[in-house]
Amino acid sequence: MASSGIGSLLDRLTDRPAQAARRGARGAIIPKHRAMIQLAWTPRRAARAVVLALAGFLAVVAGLPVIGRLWGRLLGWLVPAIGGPAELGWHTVDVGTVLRIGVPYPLFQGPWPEPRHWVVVGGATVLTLLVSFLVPARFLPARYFLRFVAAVQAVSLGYFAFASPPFPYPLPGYIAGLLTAGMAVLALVPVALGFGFYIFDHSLPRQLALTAMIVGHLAVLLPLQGLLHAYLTARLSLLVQPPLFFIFGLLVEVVVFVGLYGWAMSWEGQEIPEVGASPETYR
Amino acid sequence: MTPRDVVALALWVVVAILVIYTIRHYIFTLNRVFGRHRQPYVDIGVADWPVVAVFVPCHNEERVIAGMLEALLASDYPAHRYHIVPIDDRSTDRTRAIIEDFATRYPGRVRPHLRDEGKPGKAAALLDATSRSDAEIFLVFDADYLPGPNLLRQLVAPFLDPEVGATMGRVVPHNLNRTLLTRLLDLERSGGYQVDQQARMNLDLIPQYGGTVGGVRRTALLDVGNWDDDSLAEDTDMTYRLILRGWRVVYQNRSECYEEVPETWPTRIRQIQRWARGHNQCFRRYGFRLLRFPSHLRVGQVLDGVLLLGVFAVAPVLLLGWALATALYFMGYPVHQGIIVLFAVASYATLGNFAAFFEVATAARLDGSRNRIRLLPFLALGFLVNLLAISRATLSRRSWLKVGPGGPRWEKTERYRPGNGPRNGPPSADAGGPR
Repeated sequence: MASSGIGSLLDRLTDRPAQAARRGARGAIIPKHRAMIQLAWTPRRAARAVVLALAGFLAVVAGLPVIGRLWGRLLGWLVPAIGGPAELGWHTVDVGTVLRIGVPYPLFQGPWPEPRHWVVVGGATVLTLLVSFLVPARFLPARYFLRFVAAVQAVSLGYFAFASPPFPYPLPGYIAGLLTAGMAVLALVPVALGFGFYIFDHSLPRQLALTAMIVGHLAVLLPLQGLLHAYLTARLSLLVQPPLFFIFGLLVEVVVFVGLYGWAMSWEGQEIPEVGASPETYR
Repeated sequence: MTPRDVVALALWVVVAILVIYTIRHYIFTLNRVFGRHRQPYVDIGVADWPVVAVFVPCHNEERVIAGMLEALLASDYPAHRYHIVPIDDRSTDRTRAIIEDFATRYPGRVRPHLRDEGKPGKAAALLDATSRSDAEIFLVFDADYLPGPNLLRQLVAPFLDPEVGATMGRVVPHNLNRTLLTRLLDLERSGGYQVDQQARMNLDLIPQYGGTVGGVRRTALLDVGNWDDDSLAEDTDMTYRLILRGWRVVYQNRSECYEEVPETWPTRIRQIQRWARGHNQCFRRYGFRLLRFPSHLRVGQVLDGVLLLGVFAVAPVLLLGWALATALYFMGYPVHQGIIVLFAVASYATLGNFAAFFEVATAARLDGSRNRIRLLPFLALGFLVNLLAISRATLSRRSWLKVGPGGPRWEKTERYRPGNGPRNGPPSADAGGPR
């Protein structure tokens, strides 16, 4: 059984022998075996992928100053609400001479660890490790993840046990860096989709919808993520900044990207048929 | 050069290795979707079919062996041109009784090879059994597999080409709806076969003979010195010996065979650690020989061969990268200094990490199983487990020894199928066939 997309495509091209050869006895389409399915690399497909990627990249870059200002308004409202300094810092990024992007960041200060920080963070690390041993075997990845977090945190504890101030990455600069890198990720979203999604057989509205969803989601997530990092570091000291950077930094954006991308790749296209439930389909 | 510079340099080397594998993911995926599709032997339906012996090595396979033998007996390959050789190697369960029952019911078609002495292990069992066979083509299946009726023809057809030394079919899990792990493994298998193996075939690189759904030509086997019973991965070992001797290995994406994937994480870890050790052993044996660029191999084939051999060594390299990045971070490396560095870091974070997901999503989409693609982010869980399990196996002494401590042995994956498996070949849709 063929999808209506394939059916309509072949209906338009019935004079072609290749398509005629796929007609069944009663005019139905004989679907290609999944081992043989490919997409045609046509100039139109290539041009659409390149144009969308390029246009998307330029549009996001052009929109970054606006996004920066919106982040400023969001942070300006949220930071005082959670007890932070009302004033924001602004990191300026010049893209050549054509664009100047302001990246706001909260001016929380990350304190050097004090005894109470050691107790809380050290205790949480030990607790995380212990909990990992209680996780049932069927949730093994969760067990590994908890141990991985505990290991990175333990390295951080080890570092601060011997280090002396100042820490190379003061909190405000770290947050500014995270958000600036986040802006670069926003700009790269259409580029990644250029060869990872736009080349497939989805309709143009769906291609644009995925781009808008990912960029929109990350644009909202990034300042909140930066704020959370700043808040936790301000409360728990610089002890927690390394695991936040390594594990809960840009990897979070990648997971969000992959999650939405995976959903979009499950959307119906126009050429690749969905295989039915029976294994007999494949023989 | 300061210590920080040394660490930074080492990290850049690690990143370079990872970038090479990332590019490889993109090339394979784009080739599979848009490249020239090569399946030159799949349409062969009528031929002077050679005599085939189908070997099924078994060690305690009572849960699955009956289903396997029934599926093979239902093959449409000319009955007088093939026979089945279940090899029982010291089973302590009912495997031998089941095999002997089949031999009684199908005299001449099922010819058991029973072993009670000699080296244990799949490679040794194959060496023993194939040495006593005069068939032209040897097909080899794992006991938990369920071949469809036309699979033997499809796997034998490439051998009509005298340059072909081995063929490999596609492995498809049939118990995918059991747990999250089986679903993730289904996605991984899909990426590995639908994209990786087929792209290698398209690009005339080095498709891998996987040892579970495939076959070897007897003359080729003898030419390369038969099975190596000291090998931890007799399939990868055979692939490289054939390639180095000038034989071709063919992958048949259309030739699907159903397998049972691990349903629990500990089983999966043991399986992938076994693969890692075997692969690394082959890396040690054939990596440098390949890098001498034998005259009959193209540069692309050599590079693909080396990258394929090194694929399990990437996990500890990645872990090393994390360790170096952590060290560099605490040494005060200016991570966010300059827009170029920032852009490079962001690029790798997005495009680099995205590559493997792109490959799997593409494979699942080509498979037409769209709903499964929504599990894509959960693959990160599998990657984490693989990363640690493979690293541990790679760093173990056994990975790099000529023979494992205590010599070769049976390393088995746990079976889950209840009873003796289905009575009539491949699984029903209710049993969890591909969706």
